[in-house]
Amino acid sequence: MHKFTVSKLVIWIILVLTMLFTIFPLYLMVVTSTKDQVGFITNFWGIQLPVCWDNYIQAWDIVKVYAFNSIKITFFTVIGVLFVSVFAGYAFAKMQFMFKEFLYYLLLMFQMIPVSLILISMLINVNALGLNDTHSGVILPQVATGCIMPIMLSRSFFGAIPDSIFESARLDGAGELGIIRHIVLPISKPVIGTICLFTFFSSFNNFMWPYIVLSSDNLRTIPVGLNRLVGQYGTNFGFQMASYTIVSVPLMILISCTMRIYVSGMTLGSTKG
Amino acid sequence: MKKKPQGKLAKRQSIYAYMFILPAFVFLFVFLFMPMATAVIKSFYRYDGMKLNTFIGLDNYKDLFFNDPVFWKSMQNLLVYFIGLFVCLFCQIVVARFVEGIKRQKLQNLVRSVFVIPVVVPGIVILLMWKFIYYPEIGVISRIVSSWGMQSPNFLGNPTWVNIAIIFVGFPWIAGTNFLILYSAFQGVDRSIIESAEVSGASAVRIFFSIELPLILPQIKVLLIFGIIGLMQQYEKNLILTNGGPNNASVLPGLHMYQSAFKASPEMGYACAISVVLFIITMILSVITSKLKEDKDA
Repeated sequence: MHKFTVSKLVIWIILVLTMLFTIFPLYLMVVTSTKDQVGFITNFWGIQLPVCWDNYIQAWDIVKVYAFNSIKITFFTVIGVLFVSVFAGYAFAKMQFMFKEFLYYLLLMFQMIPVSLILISMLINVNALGLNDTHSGVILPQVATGCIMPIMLSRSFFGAIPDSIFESARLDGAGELGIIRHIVLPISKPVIGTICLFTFFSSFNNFMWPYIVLSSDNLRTIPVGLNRLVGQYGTNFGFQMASYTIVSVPLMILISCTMRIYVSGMTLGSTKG
Repeated sequence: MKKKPQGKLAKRQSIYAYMFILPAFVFLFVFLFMPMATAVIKSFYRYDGMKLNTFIGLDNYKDLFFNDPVFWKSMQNLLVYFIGLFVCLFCQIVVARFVEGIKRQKLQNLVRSVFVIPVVVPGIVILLMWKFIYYPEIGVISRIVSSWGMQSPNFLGNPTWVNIAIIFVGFPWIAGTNFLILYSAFQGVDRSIIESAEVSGASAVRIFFSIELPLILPQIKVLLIFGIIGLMQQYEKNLILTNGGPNNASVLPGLHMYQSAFKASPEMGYACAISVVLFIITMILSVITSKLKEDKDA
């Protein structure tokens, strides 16, 4: 076994180094957020005690508007995606209708459209609908671009449930809406959870689209607002890092609690086919 | 297998079914299909987003291919990023292998979490942090290098360094998705093959290159093509870090599209022409991807 210890050591050195690289910017973010202008110069690497809470008070004062906007936009995007994808996924999995195969292939075609390349023409269209500089102008296109994967996810989820449940409910005279309410929704908690989580993160972290659509400062989302702070507050890094920390820490706590759902969902499309 | 429902029941069911899928297709039609059609149509116009809107045929495309050094510069940069993609992917493979090889399960999960958690930090925060790391004079790298008594280059302001600096931002972070996919690919490798190779005296390195890598090749292929498709669309990073500067040294095709649409005298039509060209390239790549996926399933 002694032969292996040297190579094991090398492996651990590489792992620890890459982990440090990964964590370091986050460490720097938190540490710098505790410092005032003087502390930033005299004590660059460590934490400053007592913590300069002024940074956080000042940051929260500015970020709270963006946070409200982000939460609102994310909430309605998640609701929209859920509404669209659970119904469509159920229909594609468990109902018979004409052109079913064709419509599903059409859906797969839509998935291939590279969203960030049609951003400009999306903006032209949203302007034409009179939605520019409104939250609806952010939410509705986000639902459209974000609903295809969830439809596929919920289709495969419902596909795995035996037909007999739905058939017997129908024969007992249950309407399709009744089936949705009494059978589909109660059993689809896992897939709803996965869809919620993914839509939440992608909508909350979306930068480009809100950046292009929203021009009024009081409508901006967190990512767009943070980018603007850099221009405005120049080298007041303590304050900037405090606002990054306020935004990032809740998300990191959320992912830690939901790691299992996230990991299984993320690798779903690529490994199991 | 499937029973076909008959008569009234079937009719009622299909009406409901269309109602259920209608919202999805309305959304997709209005906010994905229409923009795509708009992009194609407007690419034949000189259009500034407001009054100016004249049909000019193929002029936008002619300008793009024969009269636009920035576009060709951006294509050239794409090659540099393409090489970067290989380097990053190699590092991710190695790290994923090492993490999967950790014997104690709890420790393995912990290490995995360390690599995954940063994925959810808003991308913008990560980019702004790296901008801070690269900051001239007071930035992190500057500090370290000057403490050794040397002068560090201004990474984001220097044409030779800027693309390398931007590529490094993507390593090993944002690629947390790649890491996870590779990690589960390694988990799926059949243990018994490796054990029998170990018994016949093959070294770990040899096993890695001649057994494990070939086995996870499908995933690597797919990740590579996703990476290339992603590159075609990447411009958020470059927009925030350098806005294509200095002097177009870090411009990418997508960024060129964005800048054409949002400069002082907007050329929305021209931007649409760029997006159509990129769109066609991406489509071709996507078709190749789905072919590769089919191979994998077989």
